[in-house]
Amino acid sequence: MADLLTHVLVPFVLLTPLSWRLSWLSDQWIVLAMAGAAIPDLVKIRIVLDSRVIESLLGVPFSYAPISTLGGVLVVAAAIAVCFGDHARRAYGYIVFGGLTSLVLDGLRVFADGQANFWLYPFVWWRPPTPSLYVTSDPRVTAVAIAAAATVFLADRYRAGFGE
Amino acid sequence: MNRSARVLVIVLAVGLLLGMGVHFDTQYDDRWPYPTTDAIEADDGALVGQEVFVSGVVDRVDRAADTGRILVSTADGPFEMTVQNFDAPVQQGGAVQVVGRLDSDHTIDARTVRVVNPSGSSTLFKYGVSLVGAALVTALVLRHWRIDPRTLSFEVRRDG
Repeated sequence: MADLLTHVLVPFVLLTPLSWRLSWLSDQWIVLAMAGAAIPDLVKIRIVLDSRVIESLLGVPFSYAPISTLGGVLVVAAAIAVCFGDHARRAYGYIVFGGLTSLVLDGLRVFADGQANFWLYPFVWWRPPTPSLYVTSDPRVTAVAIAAAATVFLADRYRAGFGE
Repeated sequence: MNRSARVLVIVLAVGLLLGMGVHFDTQYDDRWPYPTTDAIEADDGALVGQEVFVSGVVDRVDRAADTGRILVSTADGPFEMTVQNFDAPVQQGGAVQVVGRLDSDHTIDARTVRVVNPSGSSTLFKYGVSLVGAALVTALVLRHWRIDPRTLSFEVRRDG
């Protein structure tokens, strides 16, 4: 998968220009989409807690991989969204949106056989075709994401200053 | 949403995640269109000639012989595989994906070798940048939202 910084910047780049047209799309919702974009990266929990530990506790085979799938995003987003009280439903939508952008972005990365992983699980066991646009550690991907986010940020500040 | 309903949703979500984790792992071998790395390691010749897809960490590259040796993970730890037609710009410690025909002695006649990490330091870069991303998104959420100690839920910061 792409690095976490790239993941969280993508919803910012996509939603901030929309917020210039849509008054209800304010910054607090955009940051929730950015937080949602981090959900697939939670699969890295395996670095600190090996799946074999969970397997020994449960007594059955276990994988963290579903966290980086559509099902994982929908479920983790629900657990996070309920922490937003009266805003839970709206928060859920933005968190899921952010998670989806990360899944789609990861679905475009390099796979040697031209098909991505099972990121649509559990709805379908299918490996969608990938254009193999980038490798996960390519710093150019991060550079493009930072440049795009900086451009959007400056344009947003300019508009905010212009409106005052 | 009251506190008990919130706790219930979170417990259900954790249960669902655990359930999906178990289901995914038990179904994966049947759904993955290639022999698993566990099967390849244990192979006594029955898989020779089949197309395989493996990911591995580069242990050694022999440019003159056009071969590479990679360490492939299994449930019981890594094992060595030799990749022929190893035409990839990668250093020791880097990571590759290989698709090709399996030969005897854990050798792959590669059709495609794709570099995932060109060197060991690539992973360090990725984790470093990811830490920056985690710090950024945490700071932004806390800038726009605050935890209400009365309801133990996030509320919009009016000054955010």
